Amino acid sequence: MALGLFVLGHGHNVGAWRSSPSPAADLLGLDYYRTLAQEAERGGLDMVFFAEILYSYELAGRHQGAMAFPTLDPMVLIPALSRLTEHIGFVGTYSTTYTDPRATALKLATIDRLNGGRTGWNIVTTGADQSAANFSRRDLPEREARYARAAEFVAEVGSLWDRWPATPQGRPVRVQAGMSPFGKAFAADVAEVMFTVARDRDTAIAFRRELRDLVRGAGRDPDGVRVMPGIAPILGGTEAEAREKEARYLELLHPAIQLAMLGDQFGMDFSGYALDAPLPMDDISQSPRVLSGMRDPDKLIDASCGVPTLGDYLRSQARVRAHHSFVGTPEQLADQLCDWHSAGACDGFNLMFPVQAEGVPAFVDQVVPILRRRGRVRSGYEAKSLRGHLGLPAATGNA
Amino acid sequence: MPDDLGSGTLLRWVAAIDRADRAGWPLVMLIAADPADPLDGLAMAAWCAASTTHIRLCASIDGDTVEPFTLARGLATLDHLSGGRAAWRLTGSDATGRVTELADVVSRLLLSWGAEALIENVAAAMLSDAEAVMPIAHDGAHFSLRGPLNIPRPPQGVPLRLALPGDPAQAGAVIVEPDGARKMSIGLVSELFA
Repeated sequence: MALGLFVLGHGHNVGAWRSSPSPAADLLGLDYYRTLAQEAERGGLDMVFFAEILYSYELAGRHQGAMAFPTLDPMVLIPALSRLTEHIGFVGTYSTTYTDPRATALKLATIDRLNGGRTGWNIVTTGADQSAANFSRRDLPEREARYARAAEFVAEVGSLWDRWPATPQGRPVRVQAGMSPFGKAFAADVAEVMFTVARDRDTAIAFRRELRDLVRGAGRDPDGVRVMPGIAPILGGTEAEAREKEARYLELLHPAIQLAMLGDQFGMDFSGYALDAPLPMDDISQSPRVLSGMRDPDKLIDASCGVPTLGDYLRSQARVRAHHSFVGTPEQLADQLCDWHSAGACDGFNLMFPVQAEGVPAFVDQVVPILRRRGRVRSGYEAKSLRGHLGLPAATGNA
Repeated sequence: MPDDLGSGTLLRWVAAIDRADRAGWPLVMLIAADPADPLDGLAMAAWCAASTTHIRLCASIDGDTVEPFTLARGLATLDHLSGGRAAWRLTGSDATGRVTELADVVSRLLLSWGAEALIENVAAAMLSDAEAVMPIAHDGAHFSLRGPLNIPRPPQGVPLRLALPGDPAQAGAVIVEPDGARKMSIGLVSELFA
């Protein structure tokens, strides 16, 4: 079972920074990330993953101070963390829409040479339209055009790697996360690791089966692709303890933070609306991201319950985005991970702890030993490279 | 000698830089002298930042291709992680003025968060002060972008920017002494700090 740690700020609970005594120093210094990476390595995880965000959260030209500023440059953070670890792999996101193929090839090759083959590249086409304004582009290119460029980009990066001195893995591991039809077709051609969103086991089984068929259809071996759904575990010694922790985490989500998040999603300021009134659907339907086709307002409403109040909607969204969440004991989590893995729902998991400083050591101390006893994960590192940790075949000339 | 991972040359540089740091030299400039064996200066500098404490790490950047937002993010990250030891140098012809405009836009992005923008108000759930983070709204011949950067102001504000003395093609590394720069091949650097 492959295991990755998805590090996002203080955690995937957007209010997680409020649980730290020194949030800004954590997010901007090396120590906080070093501790997480070294803990993940202590647990024998395959990799640590960093996303990339290319815009500042704001509304109508005004910065949103409630939301923690997100990611540092993964291609700078990863080499620094590689120096402070020995085995664990690192996957960083870099956009094919807003970077130059030569510069990206060079960054990945340099990092892979420095860390001895522990590098992966999450290939994204950058779906956020706010990013376009920071790259001298008036509009976000259409999804189809972005994926066409991504395919050319990956091919060009590959041909540059062929020209330069060999890197330890031949090719850094290629990761993909888009689940649109274009994303899946692209993944079928290039992905070796696929990060997915899966709400339940049956959806995950169906997705993995479909993706494996697409990979086979593209002339590749489906066993050369690791499908890794995100999961957001909250652990407690007993179920009651885990539920208490969940309640404590929900308290971190101050309404100011949730309104800022909702505002970021729709490009509209929600701070003036009453929390106990129904969602302002008329105004939402005129918001910039609905008019541009990026957001569907109907998804806010559960057909069986009607329009919720703004406050109820925010409470329902307080868990980790759309990803599968888990609240329970270490034994129960291990059972669930093994069940999904045995059922063909996945090849592993991308761990998205709501509060990383608490979740990562708990997982390493309490869940990893169970998975090791059951023979689902290695008891230590056997390979040198990320490709080796994941059991992926040696890189070919294909991109 | 390259080792079995093809990383030997880079790691030889790194060892020299670590020694230069311990010997108290103030700055190292990383330059890929061989076009057939290029390296990314920011990645190298970040790798070295994790093992050094005082030396400033200067990355050479291709000013003809990089986007300002990308470069500003890279420099801000390096400056934060190294505790204010990032430095940069732009290469490129600047025949069209792109490099000059790039330097200006990058500097403005790096300063787009005010020095007092981080308020860390846990009770009110406000990490930063909206009044202190401003778009740059740049509209120039080569770039038009809004900003602000999505990383708070780095320790140096705009990290130290250097112009290279002499011809970069001749140099492996430039190690700067308190009274001036000394240009030398990687072989010499390794020897000097062996």
